[in-house]
Amino acid sequence: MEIIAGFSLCLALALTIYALAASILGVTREKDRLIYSSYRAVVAVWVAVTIAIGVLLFAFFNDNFYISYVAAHSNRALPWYYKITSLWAGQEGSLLFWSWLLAGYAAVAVWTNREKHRSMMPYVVATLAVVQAFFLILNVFIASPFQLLAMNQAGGMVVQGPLDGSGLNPLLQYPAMAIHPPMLYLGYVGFTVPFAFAMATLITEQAGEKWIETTRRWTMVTWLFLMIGIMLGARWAYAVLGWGGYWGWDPVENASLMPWLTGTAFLHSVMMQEKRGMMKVWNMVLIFSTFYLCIFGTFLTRSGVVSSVHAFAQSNIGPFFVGFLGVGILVSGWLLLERLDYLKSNQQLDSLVSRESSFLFNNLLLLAACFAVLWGTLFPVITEAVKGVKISVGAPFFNKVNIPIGLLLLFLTGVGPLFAWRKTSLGSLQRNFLYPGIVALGVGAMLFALGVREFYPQMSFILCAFVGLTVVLEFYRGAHVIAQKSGASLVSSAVTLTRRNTRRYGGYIVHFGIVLMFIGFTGTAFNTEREQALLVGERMELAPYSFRLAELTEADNPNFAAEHAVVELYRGGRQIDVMYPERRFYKASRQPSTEAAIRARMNEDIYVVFAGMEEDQQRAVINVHINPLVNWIWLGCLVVVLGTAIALVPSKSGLDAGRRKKPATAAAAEPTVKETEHDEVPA
Amino acid sequence: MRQRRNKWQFGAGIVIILSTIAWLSYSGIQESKTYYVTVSELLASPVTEHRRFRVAGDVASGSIQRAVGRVEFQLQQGAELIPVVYAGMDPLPDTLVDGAQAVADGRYENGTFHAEAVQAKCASKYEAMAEEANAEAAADAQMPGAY
Repeated sequence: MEIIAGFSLCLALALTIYALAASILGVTREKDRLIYSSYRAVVAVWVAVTIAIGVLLFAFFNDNFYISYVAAHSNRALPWYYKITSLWAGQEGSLLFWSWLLAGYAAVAVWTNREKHRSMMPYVVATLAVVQAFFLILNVFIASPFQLLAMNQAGGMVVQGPLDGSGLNPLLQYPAMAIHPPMLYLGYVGFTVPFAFAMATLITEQAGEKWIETTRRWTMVTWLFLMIGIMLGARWAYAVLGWGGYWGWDPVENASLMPWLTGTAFLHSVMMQEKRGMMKVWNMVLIFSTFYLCIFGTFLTRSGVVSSVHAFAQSNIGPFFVGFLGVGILVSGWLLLERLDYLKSNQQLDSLVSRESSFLFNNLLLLAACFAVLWGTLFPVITEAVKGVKISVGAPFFNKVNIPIGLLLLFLTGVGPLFAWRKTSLGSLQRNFLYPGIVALGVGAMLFALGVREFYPQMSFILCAFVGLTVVLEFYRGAHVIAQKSGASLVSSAVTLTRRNTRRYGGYIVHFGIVLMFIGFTGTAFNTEREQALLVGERMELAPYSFRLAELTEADNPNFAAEHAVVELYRGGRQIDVMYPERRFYKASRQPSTEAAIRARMNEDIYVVFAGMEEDQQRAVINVHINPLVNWIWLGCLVVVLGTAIALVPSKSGLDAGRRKKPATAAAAEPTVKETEHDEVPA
Repeated sequence: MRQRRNKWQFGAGIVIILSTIAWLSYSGIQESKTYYVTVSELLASPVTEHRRFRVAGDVASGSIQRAVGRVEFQLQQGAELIPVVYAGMDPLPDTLVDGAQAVADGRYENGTFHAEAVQAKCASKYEAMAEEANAEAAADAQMPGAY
C-alpha cells in the first residue's frame, strides 16, 4: 500500500514539474495546447496526492503500525474520528495535508478561472506549481509519512510494527481540535492562490483591475477559514489546557495571527485600488507578506524554531523553509521593483477625514500589530543572533502593544465606513456620529458609576457601544427608507437592504461581530480565580458563588481512565448546578490530561478544573475561574462568519442594475433605494 | 499648498502612532524580557538579581513534592541541580513527571528558582522507535506547556 502512496507522490511531483514547464513553454511559444495540458496536469496532481492521503487514512483505519507515522500518532483503541485527525497530528502528515489542500485549491482556481483570466493563467499555474513542488519535495524526500519502522535489520530488512501505536496526543483528542488544523490550513494554504494571481499580474502587467475582484473573493474565503481556524484554536486552548484562558501569545498562536492581520489589511486596502486606483504597490506587498507569513506560520508550527528552546527538539525541515522563504521573497521583491511603473497610482490623498485616510490608518495599525507580534515572536532568535543570549518576551509585551492598537482599530471600525471617499463634510459627520457618540459617552458614565474605572476596559466598552450603534443606525436608516416605500416591515426591509449590497452590509455585520468579540476580550479584565484543596464535603468560596466537593468518582474505557470531581455550585445558599471536572489518563500515550468543566452563560463562564490530588490522596485540588463575557467572543466569531458569507454572495440588484455611479458623499448621507452602488467612485 | 498641508498632517499622524507603539514595545520588552538558560548556564551566570529567567533541564527523579498551592522539584543537567518552587495558581502540566524535560519561568533568588510558570514534555514511549518519532511527539507535546 505504502508503495502505491510513494509512487503517487512521486507522480504528483513529476506532474507538477510538467505543469510548470508546460505552462511557461506554452505561453512563451504561444502553444495553447501545452497551456491546456498544464491545466489538466494541475488537476491530475490533486488526484495523485488524494490517492496518497487515502492510503495514509487507510493505514490509520487498518492500524498499520509498521508505518512509523501511524505508530507514532494512533493506537487501536483510538475512536475512528480521531484516527482521521491523526492524519495531521504530526509533521509529515501535516505537510502532506498542506500539499493536498494546495493541490485542491490549485485545481479549483485553475479550472474556474481558465477562461476568465486567460492571459494570466499560465503564470498562475506556474506560481502554484512552484509552491506545490516545494511541498511535494518535502513530502517525498524530506518528511515522508510513509516511512517504515525497520525493527530488525540483520539479514535483510524485516519490516514489523509494534503491536499497538503510541496513540494520539491526548490534548488533541477534543472535538474543536479535530477541525481546527484543517480550518487553519485551509486558511494558510488558500493564500497561495491570491499570491499566484498577484505574481501573474505583475509578470503580465495586466490592464485593468479585473484580477483584483477574483483575488479579493479568494482572499475573503481563505481569510474566513483562517479566522475560524484561529477561533477554534482559541476555543480548544480555553477548554482543554485548563488555565482558564484562550490566548497566550504562544509562538504558534502568533504565527496564525500574523497572516490574519495582513490579510485583513489587504481586504480593506484592496477597496482603495478597486474604487480609486490607489495603493497598488502596497496591495502587492500585502498579498506577498500574507503568503510568506502563511509559509512562515507553517514553518514556526512545524519546525519548532522558536518554541523549541534549548533541549526541545529541532526538526530537519527548517532550512528548507528558510531557503524557500528567502528565494521567494527575493524573487517577488525583485519583480515588484521591476514593475513599479506599472503599479503607479494616479490619485492623491485629499483629506485626513476621508475613507481613504481611514483605510490608510487601518493598514498602518494592522501592520504595526503584525510587526510587533513578529518582533515579539522572533525576539529570542534576534537577540541570540545579535547578543548571543536568548531573550524572550511574554504576554505583558504583546498586551501592552496590541491592546491600544486594537482599540484604535475598533475606533476606525466605527468611523471609517461612514467617512465618504475623498472628503467628509461636517454635516455628515454630525448625522452619523452624534447619537452613537452621545450614547457611548452615556455608557461610559454608567460604567464609571458602576465601578468600572480602569482605562482600557472602560475605553473598550465605550468604543464597542459607539461602533455597535453606528452599525445598527446604518441598518436602521437604510431599512427605514425601504420600509416606507414598500410598506414591508423593518426587519424584512433590512434583509432586502442587505441583499441589494451584500458587500457593504455584509461588511457591517462583520464589524458588528468584531464589536461582540471585543466585548468578550474586555471581559478578561474582570476574571477572578481561586485554588483550594478540598476534602469530600468541604466548600470553597469565590464570590458570589460557593463550591462544594460532593464526591470523587472514577470511570474507565479502552482509550482512557477518568476521575471526576463532582462539584456542586451554590449561589446565595441555593444549589444551582452540578459540575464534573475531569482528569483523564490516556492508556496508549500514558499521558494524563485535564478536562475542565465549564458552565457557559452570556454574562460569565464558571470554569472548574480538577487539578489533581494532594500528596495524602485525600484532598482534591480544585481550581475555579469566573470568566465574564467569554461567550461573546464565540458569538462574535459566528457573526463574523455570517457577515463574511453574506459579503461573498453577489448583490441582488448588482447583477441586473449594472454599475451606476453616484456621488458617494450624498449616498452616505441619505440612503435611498437606489443607492446599491453606494461604494462607487465619486463622479 | 493644500497637498502639502495634507502630507504634513498624514506624516504627523503616522509619526505619532508609530512612536507611541515603539515606546510601548520598548517598555513592554523591558517589563517582560526573560533570559533563556540551561541549568549550568544559570549556575554560572554572574548576574541573577532583577532578571527573569527561563531555565531548561530535566526533572530529577523522585524530586517532585506537592503540597497545597505549592510544588517543589529539582531541575537537573548532568550533576548540577537547581531547586525549583512553584506556587502559582494554574495547575502544572500533566507532563511534569520524573525525567521529563522541563522549562521553568521565574526568578532565581538565594539559590532557589521561584517559578511562575512551568512547561514540560514527556519522553516518548517507544525507545526503539526512531529518534525522529521522539522529536515528533515532543514537538506536539510542546503546545500545552507554552500556556
